[in-house]
Amino acid sequence: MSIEATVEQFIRTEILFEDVSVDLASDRNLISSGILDSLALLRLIEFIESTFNISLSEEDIDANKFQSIGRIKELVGGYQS
Amino acid sequence: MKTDVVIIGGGPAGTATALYLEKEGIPSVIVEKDEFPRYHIGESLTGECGKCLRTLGFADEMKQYEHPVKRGVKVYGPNGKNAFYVPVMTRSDEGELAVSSTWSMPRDAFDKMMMDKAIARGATLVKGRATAPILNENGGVRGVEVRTADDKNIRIEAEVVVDASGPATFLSNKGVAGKKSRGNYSRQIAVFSQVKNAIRDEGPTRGDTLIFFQKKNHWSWFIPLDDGTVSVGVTVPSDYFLSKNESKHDFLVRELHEVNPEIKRRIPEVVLTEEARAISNYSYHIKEFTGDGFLCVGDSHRFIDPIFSFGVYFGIKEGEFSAKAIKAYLDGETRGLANPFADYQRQSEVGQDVIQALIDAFWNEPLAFAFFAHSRYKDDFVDMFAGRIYTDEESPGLVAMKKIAAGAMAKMDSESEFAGATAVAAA
Repeated sequence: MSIEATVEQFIRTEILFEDVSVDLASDRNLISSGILDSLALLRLIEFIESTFNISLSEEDIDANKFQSIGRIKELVGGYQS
Repeated sequence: MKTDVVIIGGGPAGTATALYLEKEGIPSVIVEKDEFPRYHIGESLTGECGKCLRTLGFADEMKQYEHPVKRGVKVYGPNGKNAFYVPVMTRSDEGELAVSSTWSMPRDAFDKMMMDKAIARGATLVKGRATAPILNENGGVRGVEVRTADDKNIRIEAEVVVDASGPATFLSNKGVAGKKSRGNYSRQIAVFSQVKNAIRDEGPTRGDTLIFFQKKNHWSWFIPLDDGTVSVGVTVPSDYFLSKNESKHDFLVRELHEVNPEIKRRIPEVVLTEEARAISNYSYHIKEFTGDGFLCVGDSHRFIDPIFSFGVYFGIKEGEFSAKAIKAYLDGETRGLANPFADYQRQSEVGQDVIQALIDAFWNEPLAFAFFAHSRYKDDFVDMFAGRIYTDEESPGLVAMKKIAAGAMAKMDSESEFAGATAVAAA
């Protein structure tokens, strides 16, 4: 599964509890839209580290880098290349 | 009057210094202007502070007074729902973390308890106000002049002068210690009092310290004390306080219902049982606070921010370090040095700098702070919150946190709007 699909699935099942009505387009702002609150963001970061087996640097633990699924893909991709 | 050591100020930093000196067999004179007991803010103690009190022999008194046992700190986010909890934990000699506890104390009783013990163990109390340091021809400090409570001027000559004068920063004001510079949180004001009939947790967390966060530099505290009394306060930017144009009393009563929904729930009707008091510009730093014949302990050289309850702990811990440094000096080991207390100064700043970084990271990089504290470096953060901050070997959590704190201070004024809202997230 792609990075985007993996992250989308996590948000859909673990954070939105299967709410299919919420738009999770890759450029949708997850923070200003209220999809990710501070608690959810922390869970997402933990999920990303364990699922993709990466350890984010201090600079990357920055809400702006998790603003959208597209941004998250860029961030994770940078660690995998 | 002549003595080995004269201590200016009878708060916890001063009396802890006297008590640790007594353990080394060194007599001291404490100069205190106020009649004890007297009101003072700063009731919540860290885990390691509890350990210091046990070492000084206060465990029985603490139990006898039935002071609330504090097992942790809970910090509520802006919506009053998400909260993170830092338990008070100790480390065994083998390095294992274990559940522990400390106390919260009304400071009138606490400070008097420490003073009484210091006197019982041989310290001499002089009631009066220090007016000027006594200097020798080389500018070394050799005592202090005092205006006594019964209006006499006396000279107390001493080998060492300990400044434990708190925010009065006596030796800095007299030009002996270095100049006072503003700390990172100096444009803040804390308004505080006490309430009764507040809703506490039931069970073991009943005595815990609670922090309610609204946004950056705008928060309140709830510290259970004796007899159903709770210490409450609100800390805000000074400009915000002035813009409200309210009395301290009215400001506090209104804020306690507006700052965060959870503190409102816990204090359905705010009736202050103490005068509303305020302290502003409380954050400062004196970088050179030791020298020929003198050293400063606790608030007399630095105060960062009240949020994580380190005030009393710094005073007591630095009292412990200062007693060792003074013993080495009186024994002649460091007497010939230009600054016999340079090691004490360095050691004290190691701990203060850790807490400075902890607070800078908390306020300025809330997401990374939360992630480190709850996930990546959980144990290291438990250590820092407890006060295990005097090691020369930095833990991975401390290294990472110092890095984000330094980065944050560099870009101070350009934080993202999301920052405030994420300072607190659930574990």
